[in-house]
Amino acid sequence: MLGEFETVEIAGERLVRVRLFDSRYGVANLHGRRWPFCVFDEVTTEAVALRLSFDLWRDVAPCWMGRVQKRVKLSPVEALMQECGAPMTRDEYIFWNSLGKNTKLAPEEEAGLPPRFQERSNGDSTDEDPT
Amino acid sequence: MNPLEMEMGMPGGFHCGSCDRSKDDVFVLPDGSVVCGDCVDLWERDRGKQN
Repeated sequence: MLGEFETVEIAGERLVRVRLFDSRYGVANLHGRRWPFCVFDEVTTEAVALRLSFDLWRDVAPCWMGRVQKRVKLSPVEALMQECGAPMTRDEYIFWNSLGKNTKLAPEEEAGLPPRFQERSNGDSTDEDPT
Repeated sequence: MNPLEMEMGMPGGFHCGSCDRSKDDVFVLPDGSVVCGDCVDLWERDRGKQN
């Protein structure tokens, strides 16, 4: 988890307090990108654009955490490739994680791959963002 | 900006819209703005004066 939210009451108003856990060692600065700030900013902008009330915005917070946790599953290399508009393929993922060797995966290794890289018989994607 | 370049020397954390500093502990005000703990004290004081 990158941080936590809590509701506090100050001067008769309910505010959201956001605490980031230890940003010094890369927890917050994942993949060299300021994930929390970027995503946080995105959600705030979205909330203002949609004219969501403050209470509604607070309901959005758990979704924000879910999105952050989903995004940080990307490896640094994968995140960089996605940033450059060239999403990593299954073969490239296996190549990188095998230190440059072309290896054939055992069934247990196959099961350990992220779902988006697992071989599927029907070809359907299971990595769709439900939100 | 290249993400790898950003990794070095860029502070992680939230940007306080009031004092322009990067903080790990911030508050979101009802209008959606983000301020740090020091600035929320000032905000609280202003609210107290208005009331």
